[in-house]
Amino acid sequence: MRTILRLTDRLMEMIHADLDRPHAFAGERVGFITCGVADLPGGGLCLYGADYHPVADEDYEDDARAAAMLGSGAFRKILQRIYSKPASVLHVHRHDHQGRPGPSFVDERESRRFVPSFWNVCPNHPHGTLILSFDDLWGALWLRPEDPFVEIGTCVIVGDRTRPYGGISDERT
Amino acid sequence: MSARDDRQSFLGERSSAIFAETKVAVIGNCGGGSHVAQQLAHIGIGNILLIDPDVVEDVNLNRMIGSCPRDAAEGIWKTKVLERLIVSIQPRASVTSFTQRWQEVAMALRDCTVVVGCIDGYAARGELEGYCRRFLLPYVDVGMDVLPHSTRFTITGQIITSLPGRPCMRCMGFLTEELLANEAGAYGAAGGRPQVIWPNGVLASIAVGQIVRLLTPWHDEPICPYLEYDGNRQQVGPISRLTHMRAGSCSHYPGENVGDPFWPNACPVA
Repeated sequence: MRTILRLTDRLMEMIHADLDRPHAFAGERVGFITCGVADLPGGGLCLYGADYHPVADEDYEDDARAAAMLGSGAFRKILQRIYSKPASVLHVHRHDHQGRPGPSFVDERESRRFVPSFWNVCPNHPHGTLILSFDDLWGALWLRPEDPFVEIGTCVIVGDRTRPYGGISDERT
Repeated sequence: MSARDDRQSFLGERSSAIFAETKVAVIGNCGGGSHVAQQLAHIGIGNILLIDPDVVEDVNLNRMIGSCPRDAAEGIWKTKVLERLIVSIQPRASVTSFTQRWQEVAMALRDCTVVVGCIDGYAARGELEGYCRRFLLPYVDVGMDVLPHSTRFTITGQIITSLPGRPCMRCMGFLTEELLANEAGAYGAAGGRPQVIWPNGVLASIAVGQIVRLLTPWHDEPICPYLEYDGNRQQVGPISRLTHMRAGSCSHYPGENVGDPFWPNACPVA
């Protein structure tokens, strides 16, 4: 299935700026992107980044099992947001390196735990996870909780420089 | 990089591959749109979507690139003329054409990389820009006008690059309520508007330059969102009052209003 994610460069800058900030005890920051959705011509789905929701300092838990462990407050806030205005949610964090990132074992395990909760309040939308590096990204969507994830085929950053990641044109400069 | 792209290799080592993958929609396929389509083909854009509901007429022959008297005599669709032109320049190009109003085939725009509008009317431009904002599509607007004065004429035009999240045509002062009201008041009385080939060529060339800059920036200057054409002085320049707006945002199209508002119950559209 063809999947595209479109984000403005302004939104990407906002996300990176938040993820850059150190936290008192968490090893990394995470956030959520709410997205609009539309069908693509010829089949497939496109997600459109609408807004970024950083996780508040107090919603991190001091837990050594993961670099960033979120408390219930973080999920309650994003669930409230998509309950009041249905949207797709992408959990986003960054691996601090150059080049194409990929999901770690912990990323996969944790995603399978929390992504299904998004369907409890917004059952018709796809939800997923997005992993950034300093200059690239990787994403996955679950179209239904019981299905395996689908990798996001192309991510287009729209802005002064409109550039697709993935496929042939994965420029990384 | 092939020999045909050798002279544009400064655009980047991967520019040919990027162009080959890019899909550009050209809406309005006569004066401005025909120039744009021709140049996109020369550059090597791999996927071109043409949308125009009209056939070639005699009055188009003074400015529509690729058209000839036989097209007008036989009432050939403008899209078909450009399809013929594009394929003759770049046989590997994938050209899709629709002979309807763009609103009837709007879904086809959604997987485009850039949308170019070469259409008449302020309201129509605003509608197309609104669609592009909703689906996070860069929109490049090309337009010209010939304004009569007492004994002379003034040729004006614009190239507006409207990027999601940045100032829109309303923010830039190009679309105003007054202009839209005047246009609505004059509905049906417009008649044939004066159009000539050379301003279309100038404006379309700059628009294509903006598209290439979006895809493969060969310089670091930010994109100028609003370039104005003074056809009498033969000059194109940025609207100076907009310099401060480059970093600004847009209040007319909130960032949260993206995607199909009716999804997943979207109405099927061609």
